[in-house]
Amino acid sequence: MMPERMQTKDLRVYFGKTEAVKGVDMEIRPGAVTAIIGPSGCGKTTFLRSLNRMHDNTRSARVTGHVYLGDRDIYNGGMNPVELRIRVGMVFQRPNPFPTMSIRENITFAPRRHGMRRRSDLQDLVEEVLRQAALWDEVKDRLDDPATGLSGGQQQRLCIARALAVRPKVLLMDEPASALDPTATQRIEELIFDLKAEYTIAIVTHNMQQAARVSDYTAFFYMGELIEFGETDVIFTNPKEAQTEAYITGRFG
Amino acid sequence: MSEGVSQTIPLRLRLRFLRDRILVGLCVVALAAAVVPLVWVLWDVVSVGAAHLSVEFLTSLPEPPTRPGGGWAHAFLGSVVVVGSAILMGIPVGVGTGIYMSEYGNNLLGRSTRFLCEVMAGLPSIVAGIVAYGLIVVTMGRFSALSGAIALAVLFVPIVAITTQEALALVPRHQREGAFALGLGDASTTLRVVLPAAMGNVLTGIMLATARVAGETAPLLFTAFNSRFWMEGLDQPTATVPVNIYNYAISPFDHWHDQAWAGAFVLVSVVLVLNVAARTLWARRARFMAGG
Repeated sequence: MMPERMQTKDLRVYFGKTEAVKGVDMEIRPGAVTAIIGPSGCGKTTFLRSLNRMHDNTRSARVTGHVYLGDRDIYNGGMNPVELRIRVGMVFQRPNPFPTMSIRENITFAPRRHGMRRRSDLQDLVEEVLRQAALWDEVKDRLDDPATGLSGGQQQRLCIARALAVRPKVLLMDEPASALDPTATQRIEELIFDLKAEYTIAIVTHNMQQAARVSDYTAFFYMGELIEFGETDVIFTNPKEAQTEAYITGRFG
Repeated sequence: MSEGVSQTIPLRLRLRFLRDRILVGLCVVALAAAVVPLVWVLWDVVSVGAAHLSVEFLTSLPEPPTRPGGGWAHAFLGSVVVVGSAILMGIPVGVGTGIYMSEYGNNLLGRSTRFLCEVMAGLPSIVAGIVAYGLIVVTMGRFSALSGAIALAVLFVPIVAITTQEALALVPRHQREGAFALGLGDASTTLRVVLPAAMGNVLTGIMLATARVAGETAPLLFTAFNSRFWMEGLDQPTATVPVNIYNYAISPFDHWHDQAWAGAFVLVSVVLVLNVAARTLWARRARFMAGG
């Protein structure tokens, strides 16, 4: 399974009259982790959510410009949102397993809707993605228990497993560890590191140490603009822009 | 001691304390005015009604008024059939309307539907009866259980639509986004994620609406009408408990009055059980959602 590349060209997102993302050109490289950092309200989450068209369901939101998955423009008629989101999965800030479903059903729900019906295939899939999400050993004996009985960190790994189960090429993560304790956070970070061989990953984070630990590339957003993009080592040790330096050294934000 | 304290409190403050007490006192009086008649009615129905309840009353047909005994079995069956048909017709329409208003109704059609539902929920129930009378009874040329059921459904649908909408609105947005992010469409998201999460509250709304229409008399007076025999079909006039209570209560026979009390007792008990069950379910569901 080949991870895919995403790219934005002059991407703008408006909420009513407010422009939240102001013309961003950026590449999310295949098989690598790209961290998106910046102070609150800088547009980083808005940017991330435009990559799988999550703004489609917000009435006041409007997106212009281009977002490419591979060479297909996901807006402007190139792909419908359902097809897109099978290829570009998302993990949210707060773990959101489906409360009426068991651990197993949380994983098999979407693949079944997408046409996977054979019991043995589904069983294999559950084990495979739970192993990928480093959750198998903790839940293998209670797959049919309610997903809400898991701890917060386990729920978040279940959500990652659930996203992997539809075989995406790209995984978007919106502050996936911000609601978790340090131990659970560390497990998520290790998981991200393991997943990047097979997936293109973009992660929004508030935590700069986290960005430095897990990512290969870092994008710094400020006031809706992409201020600087580069290899994580360079951004954190030798940023070109004064604003980037001020932010990563903790002088604002 | 108390004199000493009162001397240290300024007059204005003491007046404020007095005003506080008067306000609380007035609230208690208002509460009593509301609750005392309710309890009184309930007590009357329970004490008098239960005294006249018997196995014969529950299981046999009426006797002619000149003879004692007999029962309302035909009316109990009639009410179950009429109310049952009303909710069978009303649930798909009401829940469907609620789903539309909650999930796709952020537009003129949705908002007007919501407004209409609120107006309809306050509709005088006799108007629902007139609608069913005009549509069904006049067309068919006779009173029928079906026309009664339609009249009740007209009252049932807006209540269920509103409670369904509110139940779905309680499902957090991140649940829907979780489903969308997996490439699921509107139908799967609504029917398999949002609706199941709200099911407890949807069922509660259905039960409360059922309790409400089960006791309606006015819409049935000239739709289901009445009968002294077992119902013969949905297209025939049918006895129901509320209409029977009305007819027996205004009759000149003492033992009919007793039966009206007993019928009222049965009806109030069923409505009470439905209400308590619905509220218990609601409370349990709320805890479940909070925990999850």
